[in-house]
Amino acid sequence: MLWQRGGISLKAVVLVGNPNVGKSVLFYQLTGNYATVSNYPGTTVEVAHGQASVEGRQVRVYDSPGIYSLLPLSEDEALTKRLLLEKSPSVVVHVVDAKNLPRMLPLTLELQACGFPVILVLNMMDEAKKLGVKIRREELSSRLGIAVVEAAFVHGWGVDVLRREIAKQLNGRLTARPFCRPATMPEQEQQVFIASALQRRRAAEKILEGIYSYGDLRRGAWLDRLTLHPVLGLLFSIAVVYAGFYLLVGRLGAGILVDLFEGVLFAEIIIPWLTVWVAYLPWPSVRELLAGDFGILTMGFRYAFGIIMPMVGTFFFAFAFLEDSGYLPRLAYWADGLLRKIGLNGRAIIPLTLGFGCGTMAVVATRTLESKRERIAATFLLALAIPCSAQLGLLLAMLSATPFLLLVWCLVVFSVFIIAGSLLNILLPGKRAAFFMELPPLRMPKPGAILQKTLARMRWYFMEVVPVFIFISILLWLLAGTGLLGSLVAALVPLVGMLGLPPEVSLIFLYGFFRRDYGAAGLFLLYRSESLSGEQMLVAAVALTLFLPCLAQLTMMVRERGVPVAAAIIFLVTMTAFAAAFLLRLALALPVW
Amino acid sequence: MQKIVSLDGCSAGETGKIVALATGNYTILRKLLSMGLVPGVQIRVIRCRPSIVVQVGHSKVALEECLAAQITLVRIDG
Ligand SMILES: Nc1nc2c(ncn2[C@@H]2O[C@H](COP(=O)(O)OP(=O)(O)OP(=O)(O)O)[C@@H](O)[C@H]2O)c(=O)[nH]1
Ligand SMILES: [Mg+2]
Repeated sequence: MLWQRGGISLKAVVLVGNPNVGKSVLFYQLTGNYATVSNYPGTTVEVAHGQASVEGRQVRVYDSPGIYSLLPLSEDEALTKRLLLEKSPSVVVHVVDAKNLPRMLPLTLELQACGFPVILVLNMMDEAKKLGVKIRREELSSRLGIAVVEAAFVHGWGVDVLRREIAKQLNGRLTARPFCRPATMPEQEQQVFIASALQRRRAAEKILEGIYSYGDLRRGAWLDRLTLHPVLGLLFSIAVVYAGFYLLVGRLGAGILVDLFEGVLFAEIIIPWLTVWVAYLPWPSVRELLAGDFGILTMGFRYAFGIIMPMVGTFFFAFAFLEDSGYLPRLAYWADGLLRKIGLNGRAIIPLTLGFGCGTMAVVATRTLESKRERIAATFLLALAIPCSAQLGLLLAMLSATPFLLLVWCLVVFSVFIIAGSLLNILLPGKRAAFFMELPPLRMPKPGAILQKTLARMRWYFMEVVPVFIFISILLWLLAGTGLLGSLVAALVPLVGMLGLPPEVSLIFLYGFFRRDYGAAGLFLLYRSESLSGEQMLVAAVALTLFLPCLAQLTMMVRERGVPVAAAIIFLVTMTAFAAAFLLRLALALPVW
Repeated sequence: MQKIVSLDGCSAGETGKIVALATGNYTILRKLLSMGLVPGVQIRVIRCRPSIVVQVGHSKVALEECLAAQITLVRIDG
């Protein structure tokens, strides 16, 4: 046995396959670690690992982003290739969608040709059977010379058989030493790659001769056709947005639940009760820190759990439903035309809509975009014009009382999105990549899976948010104590004044600098106290939407795009936000209204 | 009667067999290959606007016109 720093080095089992075939479901089944599962290609954009036990033996399992071949087309695919090369896996589990075996088998051959010890898993057998697909597994296994396992991981079928096969492989021959092509290839080699890819495809067809039959190709669900219909599809999208986001997040989350949590639980029960108890503390500064104006409990926890949690929770829930239904790739199809105009393609809809959930996750998801210019453009637009769920919910709650304000806000933010996108399209060098995307079948989301995903994301969100909120409270308390806060706020007052906003708002912009959702929560309370006019609220909402993203997103931008690009984005975003809010203020002051 | 056409000129509901990929651009070729759009495969056109959606085996694939234009088909009637 090999001992290393940090413990025993475990044998590596790598899960690979085309996007959206069920690798992450399998990863969860094997390791018990939750990895995000969604019904669209490109869910997993980072390698995840965990331990699993196969027949009493511990192994390290890696979940990888989906790939089409070992010659990557995007950044996330490149990660999988690097993983395969670096970990010298003892077993490579190639997961395929059984009903699409002819398209996916060439990758098995490619993995085999590179010398990896492969086990082939025919997943989604439940769907394949329904469609009448027939595969003779044993014959396939003997023709390929490797183990072939049938499975339907969402139902837990096939996991035990796979475990046994992995164990067999581990006890059997030695780890192969893979040889692979370098990540970028000169022209000539590309030619060779394409020729051999075509050859593998033909070889795959030959292997499947007589042992695979397609079954019923015409069967398609009516909902599937509806969402691809030009008029009905559009109506369907509007219905989805209205029901999922306006009703569920705007009304229930930001309305009813926030009233309950913030209005009743915090304002009427927790805070009065705390104030009584904190009053017993002998040190006034500690009293201030816990329950003062910027107190950890009265501000940090109140913002996090009273205001943000109900909204983020309902949003993640609605979003999980959308993701699991398989609707997002169809949205990508419809949005392609618009996104082309700003130098992106339909594929960008996935990071952009993820941004409405959490911008931090969305920045990582830009890896699925093909070219560097597209990744930069998407990162910029996410930072500028895509409000995150907490912010969106609060703004919806504030503005939906006056639908006109909501409409103007939408129009302004959308115009900024389009104008900024078009300008970037002109400025950034290079060309847009052509759109192609698999449209997975629509599937009925499973309540258990949705709940699990919602909770996992909420846990992750609060692990990140709560320390920051506590930190902000402490910082503000320190600044207030030393009197620095007053001068900082005073420095912002002229800027805020240019936007026609009262001085209180400058404090909110200061919060917004740490986290957008925190700033929005501050604005929300100001709105509640009715100290802003309609126009002022609109201007503040626009400024805060376009303003810098939160620290977490900034950190991710630096990690993914590097310091120079991230710095340029931050500078441009700040300028644009201020300019747009200023112009809006001027426009609102015109005598035509 | 057999008729050779390019995929971007097809209309919804038509079925055809791919006979050639008319491009020398490697990135485009790789995209088509990864979607299973290779010579010898039978496909059905599901939509042609705003961009093209075809069914290949049991999967549906959306393609921009410039990709579809590279696919040459023989129409199959019926
Ligand atoms: N019907 C059925 N659906 C499945 C099965 N396995 C996975 N799915 C669904 O397929 C979709 C994709 O699953 P994931 O595990 O996210 O796929 P992945 O291979 O990790 O995808 P990427 O991370 O995008 O590469 C989800 O909607 C799953 O619920 C199965 O055996 N049967
Ligand atoms: Mg995955």
